[in-house]
Amino acid sequence: MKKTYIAIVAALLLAVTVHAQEQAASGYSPTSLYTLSWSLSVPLGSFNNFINNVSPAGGNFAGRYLLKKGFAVGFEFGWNNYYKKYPRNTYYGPDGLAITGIHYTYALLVPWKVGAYYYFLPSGIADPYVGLSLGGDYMEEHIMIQEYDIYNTQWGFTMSPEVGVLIKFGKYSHWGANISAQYWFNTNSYNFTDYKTFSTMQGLNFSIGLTYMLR
Amino acid sequence: MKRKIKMLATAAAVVFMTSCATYPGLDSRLAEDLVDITKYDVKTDFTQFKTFSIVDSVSVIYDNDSSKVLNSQAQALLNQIVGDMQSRGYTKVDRKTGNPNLGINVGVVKITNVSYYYPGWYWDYGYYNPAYWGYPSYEYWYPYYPPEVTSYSTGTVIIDMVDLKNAPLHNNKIYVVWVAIIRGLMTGYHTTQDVLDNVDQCFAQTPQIRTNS
Repeated sequence: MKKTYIAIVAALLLAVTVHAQEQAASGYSPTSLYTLSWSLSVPLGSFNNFINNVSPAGGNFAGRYLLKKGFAVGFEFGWNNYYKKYPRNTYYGPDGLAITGIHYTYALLVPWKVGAYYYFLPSGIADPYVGLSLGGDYMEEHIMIQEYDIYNTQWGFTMSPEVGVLIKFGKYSHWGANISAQYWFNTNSYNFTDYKTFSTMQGLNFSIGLTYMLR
Repeated sequence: MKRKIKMLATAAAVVFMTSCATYPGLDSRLAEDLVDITKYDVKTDFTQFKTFSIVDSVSVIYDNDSSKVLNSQAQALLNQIVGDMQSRGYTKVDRKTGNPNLGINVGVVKITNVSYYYPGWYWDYGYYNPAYWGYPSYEYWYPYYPPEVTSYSTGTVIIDMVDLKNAPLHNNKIYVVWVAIIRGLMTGYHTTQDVLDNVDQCFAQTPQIRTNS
């Protein structure tokens, strides 16, 4: 008899716990969300030879639309500034030009992408996701020596896998935080005639942002 | 609560500022150091020249004034250029009697009125003219697109190497086969020795100037 009681209490407790867990997990599943993020970028590969400083100067804006069962599509655009001061050295340009001085190497990267994402717990407080985005990168590379600005602009194809987590500020809050890590590479390359060269760019971006969600 | 908002605002401002932080502006870049800009005519074979001559003083060009200067600094500047030319195998000869293959003009521009943008404008402002080299009806000519220098207000040394040997073949034009520009004389505390070191650098970054191929 005692055993039956224990079994019933245990079953009730389990049911209550399961119910409580479901309650916690079932806030609401947003239909769309918009995130403004600050983004820190680490240049990798040959781009790292060009500018080997971490860029704290960047941001992005992303919109995502949830379809069914956690699948989502979205867009993203952003920017990152990369900058490094090099000690006095000589830049050899085309047509017999040479300039010696302190070099400021600077790059601006502006990605425009669309992507597909999968959210593991769309109605959870904390909702981890994975995604892949594709698009184009607008880019400028500059070497500045006093008033001289030797620069190039280009567009390249870009691709970036991403992992992240969306954290709602409350079960029913429209606001949340988005934390993500993106690895990216693009087809941009540049050759500053024997000086600074990179072929294909790669980097790792860490973003933290504020998200507004629509039900 | 107020304190929290303040902290958030500060954090947002820091993020915003780091997002905008990039390279320093032009004014601070100009103030940094001497910069050496050289350009040579890639179609010219410098080994065809064996002799050179150099002006006997330095043209100094101010806003509304110019003069020929031969003080100790100017002499040191001319001597440095002569030394660099001789180290590349060229022989210094007399301007009038030695029939030099190359002529070297040296000027210093110290103006505050930054209204001159086209290259070679200083040729009309108290610079050594082609008559100095025995070609009164000729004009100087860059056979390439010369480096533009807009901020003359920072003080600039200009060295023009002119091709006297082939002048008669160039349709009344004396080609400037090499131009060297040292920028930033008035921006810092640069000594004469700094300027002379930069003259050496101008030659160092143009190894094409030599008598032996």
